[in-house]
Amino acid sequence: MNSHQDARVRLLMDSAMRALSAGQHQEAERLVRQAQTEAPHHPLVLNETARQLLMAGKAAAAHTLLESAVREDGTHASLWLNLAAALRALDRGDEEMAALDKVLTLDPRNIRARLQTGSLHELRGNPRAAAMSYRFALQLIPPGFDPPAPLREVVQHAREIVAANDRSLEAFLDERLQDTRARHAGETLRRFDKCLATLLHKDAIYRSQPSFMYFPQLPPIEFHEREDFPWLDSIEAATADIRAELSGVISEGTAALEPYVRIPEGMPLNQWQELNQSRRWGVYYLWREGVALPEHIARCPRTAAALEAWPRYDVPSSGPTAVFSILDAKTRIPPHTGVTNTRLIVHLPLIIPSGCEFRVGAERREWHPGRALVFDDTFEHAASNESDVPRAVLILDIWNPRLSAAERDLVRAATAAVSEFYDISFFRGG
Amino acid sequence: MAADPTNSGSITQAGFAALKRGDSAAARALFERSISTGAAEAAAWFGLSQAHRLQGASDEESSSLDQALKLDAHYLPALLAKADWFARFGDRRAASSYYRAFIKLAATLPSVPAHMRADLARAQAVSQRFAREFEDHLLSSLAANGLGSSASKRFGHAIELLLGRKQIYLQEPKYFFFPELPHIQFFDPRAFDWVAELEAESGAIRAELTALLAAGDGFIPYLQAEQSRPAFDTKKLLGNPDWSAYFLIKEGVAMAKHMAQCPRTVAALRRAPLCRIERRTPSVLFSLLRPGTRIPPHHGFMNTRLICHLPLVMPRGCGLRVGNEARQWREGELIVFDDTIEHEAWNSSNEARIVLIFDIWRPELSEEERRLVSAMLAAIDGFDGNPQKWTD
Repeated sequence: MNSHQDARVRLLMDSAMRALSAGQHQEAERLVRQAQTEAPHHPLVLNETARQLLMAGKAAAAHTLLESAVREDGTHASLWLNLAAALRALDRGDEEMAALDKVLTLDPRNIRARLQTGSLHELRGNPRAAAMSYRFALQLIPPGFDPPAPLREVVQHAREIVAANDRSLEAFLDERLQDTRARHAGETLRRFDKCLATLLHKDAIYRSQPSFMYFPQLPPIEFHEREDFPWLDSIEAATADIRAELSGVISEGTAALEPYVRIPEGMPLNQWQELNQSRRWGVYYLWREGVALPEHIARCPRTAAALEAWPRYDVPSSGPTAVFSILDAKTRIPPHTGVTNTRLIVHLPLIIPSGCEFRVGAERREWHPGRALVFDDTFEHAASNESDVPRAVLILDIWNPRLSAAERDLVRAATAAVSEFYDISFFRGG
Repeated sequence: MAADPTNSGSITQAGFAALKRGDSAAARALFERSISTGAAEAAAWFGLSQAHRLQGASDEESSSLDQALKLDAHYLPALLAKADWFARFGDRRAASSYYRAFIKLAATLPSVPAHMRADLARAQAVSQRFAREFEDHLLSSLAANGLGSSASKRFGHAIELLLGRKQIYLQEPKYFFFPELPHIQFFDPRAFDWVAELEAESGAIRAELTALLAAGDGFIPYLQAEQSRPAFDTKKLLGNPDWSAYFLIKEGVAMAKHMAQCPRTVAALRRAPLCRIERRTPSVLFSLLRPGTRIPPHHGFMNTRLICHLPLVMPRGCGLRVGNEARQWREGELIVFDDTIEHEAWNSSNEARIVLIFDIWRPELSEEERRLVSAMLAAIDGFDGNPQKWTD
């Protein structure tokens, strides 16, 4: 075949494809027939003829044609893919696998070939290999992309097989790890269990994403161990007193509270549409971004006394903050991330109706009155209160314990300088 | 120009014509009329803001711009005018964020219209000036507090990230992620007590390597094609001797003959906490990168180990970047890094570059965590039957 004829056939077939995608079926057919007449043995023509045979259920004839086409020119992934389809119809698995391997060698990102490889493994009773091929195929589909109708069902099936495989891998690992776990019974394996949950695709990986200052090389930990903060003992012990004072504050309704989320005019609201300027998430500050509120402190003397034990995030214009946070019934705080990983956040749960949820990264923890949680709010976190009564916690900020004294001093000076430069605080609610 | 009294678009047009004549009162009336039709677009509000500006009504100018942006958050003239408005009133942060939004959006246009080029250049200049002022202010107030960032390398890094001079790179293992480990690009080799001993043996190790090179066999292309897996990011290094390796241990399997050729090297590694996972790790190898070869940016497979390089033959013009830091190798000085952070290596010299590579456990992992990780990966390989290759 000369190059002129080759170019002519490619042009005809390209035009046919364009006509087809424009809905001009007759024009497409005419162009294909033209190409078939002019060059019946061109690989693209053979491929199209074979495709039509396959659609008409004539697999053996399609197979004969495609075999000769790949002998003529084995560099077209689509020829091999159609050959694999013919071989599937003829139930010739080994040859089908070889044809699929050819497709993938020529085009490693061919989703159809990956899916068909998965389905062939399935047919041959090899669900684990099937799951692996399906997973590769699914990884090739860009997020948010809706596959065309004929593929949709296959993709859905692939997802189910992959999920089922994760479950059977989980059972397999449970059994295989039994002895090793038994040898380390009593040790802290929390971190390893988290690692296993991401490996099995049960949990996503979350990152620390501070909106203001990212401090590098700190261990990114969602929830810190309570026993690393022994000073919390005396504050937890004062829970009843603290709760009583809070109850006093809110005894006359939410008038004493201010909305936690106050986004200045002209700034995008993003996820805060509902809670902006709303007392459904109301707060009562004792210290606010480094400033003590004497009237509020005077109203909560026992809380203030308990907070003597609190090692504060003392950063000019930014911290410390101690605040009662009251989340109204049937209210959700949408996922959001905090300002800097140089600090951690403490929750002392005070009033916790059932039906509350709290998530930091992939980890959910329950609030229990009087049992403090320490977490890094630069991981995406969210909370909700589905009950019929308000939920209340006391929130405190503290230094990330992994910062040295010198580093704290530097963070203080840098944060103060940035706030001074812009004349704003980066630590406002919301 | 006579305006169609019912068409907000043509009234707006007339408003801009009035602005051009400098007739701010007529312009204002026209834009207000256009808006009162209820069908006005962002342009009408923008026009109104400009009429207000000419009349010295700053508050009205600002609120009209807000209205314009409410209708179309991507309306470039309003973004720029809002930036200028904040700049006029000395709010550099707000001005910066609007200038940056303007610049970013303008960059998405297929081509910048001629009338916007001067605006864009001005926005870029102002934005850069603010960034410089910010940087000067921050660094000088740190210095005034007697706090050179040299007091903490980590803090210096934090400031560079804050100033946008560097970007954040995180661990992105391709296969397996272990949580809560700090993201550290290069580790300080002095933190490991076995390193000095190994470095002291560099000469002996190099002598063994020289003998291997003289004998001339045993080096194979580092990347081997694998039929059963997708070969995505190999970038022409598959089966290519430009990146070659002489393995002493390959994916956990000792190469007895090769080890026998290099007794001093084997002995020098005795105290290194090699990452031992059945059929997976460690790999201990001499890695040879031919002149002009570049290993493109990529990520390693799991973050429970670190990669060590002992540079043995190091011509000038070779380098290694991990995340936001590039380093030169120096003969005999160990480099320890996390290969799950994006990294690349190059040899721009005219000679081969050779390093001894091996992998060690991350020091933060407890003994029990190491055992569990090994047991888990061995179990997964048992489940898959045909384990996924990790060499990359």
